[in-house]
Amino acid sequence: MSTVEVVSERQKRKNRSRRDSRASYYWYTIPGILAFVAVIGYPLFQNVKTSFYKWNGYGTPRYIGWKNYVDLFHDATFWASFAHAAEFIAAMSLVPTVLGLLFGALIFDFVSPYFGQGWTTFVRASLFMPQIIPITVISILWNWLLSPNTGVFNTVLKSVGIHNPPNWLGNSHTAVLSISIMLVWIQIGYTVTIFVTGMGRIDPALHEAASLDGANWWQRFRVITLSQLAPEISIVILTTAVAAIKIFAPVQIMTGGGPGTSTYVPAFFSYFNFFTTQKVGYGSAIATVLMVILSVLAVAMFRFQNRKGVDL
Amino acid sequence: MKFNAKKALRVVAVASVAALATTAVSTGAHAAPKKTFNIWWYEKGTAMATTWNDALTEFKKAHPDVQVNFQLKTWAQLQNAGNALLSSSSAPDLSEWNKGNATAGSASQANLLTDLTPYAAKYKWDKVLVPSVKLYGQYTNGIMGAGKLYGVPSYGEYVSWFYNKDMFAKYGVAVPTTFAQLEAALAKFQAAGVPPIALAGKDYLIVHLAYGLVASQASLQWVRDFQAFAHPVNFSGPEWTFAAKTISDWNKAGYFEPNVSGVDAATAVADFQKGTYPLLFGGTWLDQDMQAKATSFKWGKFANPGKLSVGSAGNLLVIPAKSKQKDLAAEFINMVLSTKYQNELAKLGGLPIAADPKYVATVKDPVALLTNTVFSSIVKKQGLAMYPDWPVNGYYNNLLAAGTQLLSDNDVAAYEKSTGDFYAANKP
Repeated sequence: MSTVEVVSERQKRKNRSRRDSRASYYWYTIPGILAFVAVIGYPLFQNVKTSFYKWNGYGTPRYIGWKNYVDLFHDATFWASFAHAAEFIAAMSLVPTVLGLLFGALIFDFVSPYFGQGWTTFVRASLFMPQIIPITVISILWNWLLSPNTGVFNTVLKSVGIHNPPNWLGNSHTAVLSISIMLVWIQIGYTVTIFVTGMGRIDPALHEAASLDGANWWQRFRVITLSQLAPEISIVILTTAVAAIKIFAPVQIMTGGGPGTSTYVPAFFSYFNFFTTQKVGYGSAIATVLMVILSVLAVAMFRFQNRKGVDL
Repeated sequence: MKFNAKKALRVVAVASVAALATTAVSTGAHAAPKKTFNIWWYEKGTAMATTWNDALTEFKKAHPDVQVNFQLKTWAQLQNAGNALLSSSSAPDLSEWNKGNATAGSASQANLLTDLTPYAAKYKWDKVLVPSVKLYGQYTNGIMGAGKLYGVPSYGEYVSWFYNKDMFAKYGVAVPTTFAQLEAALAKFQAAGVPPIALAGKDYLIVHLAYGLVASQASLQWVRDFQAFAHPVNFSGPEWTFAAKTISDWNKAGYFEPNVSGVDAATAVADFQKGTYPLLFGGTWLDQDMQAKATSFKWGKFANPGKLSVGSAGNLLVIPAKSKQKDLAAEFINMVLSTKYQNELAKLGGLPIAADPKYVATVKDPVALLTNTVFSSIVKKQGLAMYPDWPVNGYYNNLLAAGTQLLSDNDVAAYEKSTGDFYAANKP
């Protein structure tokens, strides 16, 4: 009995000292917490609060309870904007991930061994370049490239004998696709860079062993590269999907949501209500819903990633 | 509702005397320490910009004790963030402001603008601002047309057809005076393999063309209903439907280029200026640009055939409620309204509301003459239908997106539904 007490007493002391030593570190979190409160916490709180009011941005807001949210769920444009966001997830997340894996494997397995480091760096830098150009500049450039009469794309298409090239951004059926093509071009650099780095991490012995056992390139890619890259793949999908759901600048610059509402996305719809129609409460409600969806997605993806991490 | 230029011109002499007298009084009255005066506008490269700059130079000379800070804004800046700017601590002392319910109206409702009625009495602006002009600055509960004076219009503007005289002559087309003649002219160009109209389906030109066609069928009562909510507006009625259907028909007939819904305004205007298209439906703000760039052929203007035309008194000069120099601001507005600067506006090809008619008759600049001639024809036989985006906040974006869609898929019913629903959902 007494031994037990002694042990527990020692244990307590040990715990306390550990707690004390940890407590001294808490001070270091204060700048971070202050910054979080100022930049994220307070605006978030204000945004959620505003979403329960009818307000045009000045004067006195009027409390209307859940009305903005009720209206939101009956608003066809709101749902349409999410449907478009889903299409942009394909363009910014899924397609660049698949292409990034293929290009990454090609660079790692062919360009690097057969052409040397110089070419590898050149190819990677070329693919990465769109990532360092501001999105505003890219959007304006592509607006010009996609211009139906004077744009580079249609000039080239006409010169090879296609007399009725697409009216890229001016047609409600091709506008989302046109922006998507641009987004794929932008995103590939990001996915390739991360995947090529990840491939460098894979133990070459795995590939060598598989080769000796007679596995071809595709089999090695599928069984070894893909499974070994699981952490990179999940982080790439998470970050790009979040970026896709909150996409704004290309839509604002290239189409303004049009033709009709064919390129409306949630962030643009929120902005439009907030600033243009001056329904600030409604715009805040959209932003709040968007925030909740992004948070759920992020938590789900982190959980998934952690589980994967344990398996590996 | 008519923009009565004659009446405005008649009172010019009295107003100018009053203006000179009051200016003299106020310039002698200052002895305060160095003050700052913040003034904004977004006119750039127009007759208004030049005139106002000249007025500001004179203003600075008259007030050596005042530090004048001018900032050039953009129309879109004030359209999108106007009220936020006015309610912030950096609100200017005087600014050009967008007219209509969605902008000046909503700002007046939020008590962000100064009621100018006392200044109007002091400077006798009522003699310059005839009722048909003044109403653009008057708002009651945010609705334009009557009530307190929150802004002062000082020029006019309208949208009409620019046409390529050389191409009209080459293909034997006469200037149309009826809608049937206009359609016949379009068909003739089309038959000769020339797509007739330079249009931007992705920019404001489609918004103006659509409303131009609405206005050609509309009565002044319809405009009052649409702009000031006097009575409900039927978006499937003869005015709105005529416009949507005509645009769709013209689009199907190939009167615009095939990819028109992807074209922006700069491209469409440049295409007209290059001589590619014989027609462009554009506003008076393009006059100076046209004069500078459409030099390889002769061009003219004619009013859109029909009842009313798109146009109004120009944008307003307002004194924000937070202005710290309201008296100075009113003094500047008074200068802009004076005969001296109204005459200068006429000389530069602008549309003054209070110039001296004798002076205007001596103006020789061909573009100024043309603009004024077409304007008189509009005022004489028809009237001005204002602009379509004024009634409700965000309507410009909706009309543009719906217009682009209409050119993209020719769905008249969808256009009517989109624009009608948005109007209904956002009207007060």
